[in-house]
Amino acid sequence: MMNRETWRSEERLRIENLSKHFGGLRAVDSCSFKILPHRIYGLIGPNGSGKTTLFNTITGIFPPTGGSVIFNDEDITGFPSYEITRRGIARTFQLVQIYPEMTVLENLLVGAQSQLGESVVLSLLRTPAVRRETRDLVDKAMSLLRVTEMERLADHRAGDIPYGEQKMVEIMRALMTGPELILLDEPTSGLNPSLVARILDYIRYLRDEEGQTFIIVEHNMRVIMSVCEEIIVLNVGRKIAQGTPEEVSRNPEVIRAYLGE
Amino acid sequence: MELLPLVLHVLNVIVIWAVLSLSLNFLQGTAGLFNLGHAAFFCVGAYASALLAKAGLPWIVCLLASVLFPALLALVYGLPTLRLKADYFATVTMGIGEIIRAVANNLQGVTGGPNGVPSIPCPSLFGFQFSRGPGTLVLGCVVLLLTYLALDRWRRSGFGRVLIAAREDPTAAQAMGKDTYHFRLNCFLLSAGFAGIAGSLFAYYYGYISPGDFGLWVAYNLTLTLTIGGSGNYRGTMLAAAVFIIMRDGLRFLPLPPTAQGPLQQLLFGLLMIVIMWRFPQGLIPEVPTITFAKHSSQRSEESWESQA
Repeated sequence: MMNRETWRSEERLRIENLSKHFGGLRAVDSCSFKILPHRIYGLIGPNGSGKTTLFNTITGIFPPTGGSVIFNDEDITGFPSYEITRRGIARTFQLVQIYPEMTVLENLLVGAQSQLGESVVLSLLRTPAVRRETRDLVDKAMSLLRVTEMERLADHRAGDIPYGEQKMVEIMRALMTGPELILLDEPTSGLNPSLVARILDYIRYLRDEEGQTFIIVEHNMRVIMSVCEEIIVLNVGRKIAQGTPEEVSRNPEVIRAYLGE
Repeated sequence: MELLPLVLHVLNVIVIWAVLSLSLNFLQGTAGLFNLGHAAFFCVGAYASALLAKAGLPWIVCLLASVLFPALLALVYGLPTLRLKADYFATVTMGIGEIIRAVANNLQGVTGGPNGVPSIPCPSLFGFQFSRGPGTLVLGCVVLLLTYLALDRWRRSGFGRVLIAAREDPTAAQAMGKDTYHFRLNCFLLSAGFAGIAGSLFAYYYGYISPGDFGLWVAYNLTLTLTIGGSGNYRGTMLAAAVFIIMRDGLRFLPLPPTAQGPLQQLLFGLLMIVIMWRFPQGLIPEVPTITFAKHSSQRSEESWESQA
């Protein structure tokens, strides 16, 4: 089988002069950067610097005011969020947004793309192909739960399990979409240190074993510095720096943005 | 009054009410779209069957019309309104419910206006005439069973899971690659079609319909039924339909003065609501998962055992 990477350009995602304005507020202001595959990127910046808005603009929750989003050489600017997910960008949310009344297993099953069982006719007939698909998806979901040692929670209501596990469920649900780029919005906020370590291990595992690409928004600098290979710094909607953790932490403009004049 | 006709009447009404309640539970319980104008689909379905049956068309054609016309109505106003947030959608549906009733009331040339449509013939299939009472009950039971099986299959499929996900968190459902609008529109059309079937059963059983049968009270009583039975659980809905109809229509046959019956009914419904809210906040049978690993894996091991044998 031909490796898809061989004919694709090097970059996974390219953002060109991307802007999102809310009236006079320039939440994201002419940002440009490139994301290469199989790497973990950090996206940092003081509160209100536009990190989550940037995520929402890339994933189509808001249409951008200007600029473009190129994913795997395709211009996806202004696509609705479900089209963007289908093309391979998955995400998690700052405040966990799982489906609380559904079980953990059901949450993961929803993540799978273009299921036969989503068709009104096929789901009514419950054809052998639909049944096989359900079996395969359950197997896939259960193998994810096995890796994270959450198998026993499969049939629990997602709203009832601990917060840290809910965050894991959200990451696994994103994985079920078969993504080539995963955007994580504060994956470790509100978690105790052992859970933080568990989530970081999982992110590294997915990068190393499955070649996943991540962009992570985080406030916890220790997390960012330990897991990211490259960091993009936003301030008041603009990109002020990009580089390795060492470069960024020495950058005078970054220090000024965080500590003031 | 003799017991048998009474029992037959109550059973017939239970079956009709169960089909109507199931159709709403699919939309409201599973997909989370509040429809305060579900009576509109029930009404259009009833009038479609009544008028076509009087024109001499066979039962199966009338039944089909009772599915298609409500679904068409759902398409016409679902297309623009299903993009709205759920609470705005509910407001629009209430308006539609009243508009349809007003149309039935005023379009005298077609619907007979406030006088309604009298003497609707009994349904017949391949020359067999279903009598009003036992015949319509058999027919109704078959329809109810098929309705339940179809809705339950949809709920337990990928289709149903997307509907539930869109109910729980529309943004997160879209972020999982689901065009929630498309799924909701499908659900709305199906729900309208089944409500239309209930309307058809209603017209055939009573043999007479009028606009008064489709007022706002239908929405109130449907909400009551779904709350009692358990939002999102279809068995609960059927059970609650029985409880509700026995309380409403069964009461009429007790030896009570007519002036006492109305207030007593209201009192009992009020008490029932309080007890349900207090002891069964999720209804008599709460919503169950669409799939569980425990059951799924046991089925699988059975299958592999069979294939080895």
